[in-house]
Amino acid sequence: MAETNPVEQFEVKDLFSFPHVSGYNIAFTNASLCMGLVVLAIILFIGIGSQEKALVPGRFQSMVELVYQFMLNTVRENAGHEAVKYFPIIFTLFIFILFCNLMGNFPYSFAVTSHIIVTFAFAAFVFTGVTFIGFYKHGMHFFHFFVPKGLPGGIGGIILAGFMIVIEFFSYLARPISLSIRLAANMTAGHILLKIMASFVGVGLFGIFPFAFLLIFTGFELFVACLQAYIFALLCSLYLNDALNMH
Amino acid sequence: MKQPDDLPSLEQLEKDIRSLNERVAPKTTPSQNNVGMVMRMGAELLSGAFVGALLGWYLDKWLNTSPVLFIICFFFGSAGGFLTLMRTMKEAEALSNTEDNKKVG
Repeated sequence: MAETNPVEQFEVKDLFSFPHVSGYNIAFTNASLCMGLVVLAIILFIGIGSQEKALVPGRFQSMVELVYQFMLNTVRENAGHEAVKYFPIIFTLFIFILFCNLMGNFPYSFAVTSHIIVTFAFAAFVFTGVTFIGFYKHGMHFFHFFVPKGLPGGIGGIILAGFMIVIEFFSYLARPISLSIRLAANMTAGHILLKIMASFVGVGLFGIFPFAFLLIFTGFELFVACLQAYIFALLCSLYLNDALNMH
Repeated sequence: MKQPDDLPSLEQLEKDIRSLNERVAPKTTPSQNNVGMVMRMGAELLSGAFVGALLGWYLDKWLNTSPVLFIICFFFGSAGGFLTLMRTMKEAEALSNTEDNKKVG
């Protein structure tokens, strides 16, 4: 049985090395390759799907339109009509994360979204963008977001409000962390579990049981890949809703 | 594009699609949403405490007050995590309520 280390699959390796730019390693890694392939796949998917503009869509056009309509409805339902002008960025994030997650399930490929730095970059981008939109739309009034409603009056109310503002502030700061940890943890856990199960397959006749489990779990992993991309986009639109309409 | 004559009209087609959607859609979407809700909760609880601890740790380092701010921020962060969790629960509850109404109505 081959030596298998379940976390070896997440290792970033340099494929082409370049000289360091002011101390930073800018080598083309397997992660970069996988992201490039993902972008290529997205361009092919959307490009071919929107090539034929039939009124009654064929299979490929139907797939693209379904994904697009589904996301558009999600944004519209959760963040209102005003948020539709931010739809392109949410859709881009959604489809990129979806394809990264799905691509990670290919044998010998690399799960980009299992790296917390990648998901945190997405989340931090969304967080800063949403905060900026909030301040742009409401100005200093956006700070009222942190003040809860329905507090009792008097000195007790003021003390309570002080506590609540601090707690609200922390829960606001926790948003990008929870957004990035959720995605990365789900992808990492799934891939490690698959790898460990796969290492039990080669034990002989009884290897058929882990193999069956592996088969089922790969299907579940595909479901998780889609679900996590959806949750990411859903939370983006919920945060956008908070920034646009406050509460 | 060429259209054969025996195809149904656009209005008829749209009506068919809408009636099909009404029959199929309620069965599939809410359950997906509920699974999503459940999977969101764990990370929200954890990240609140994590953010509090991280912020407190660096504030302590900066102000040389170790470990006072670490402890305070950790508790506030955990409370923030619980607050988000509570909101998510409320959302899920509201969602399941509307779902029940759909089933009855």
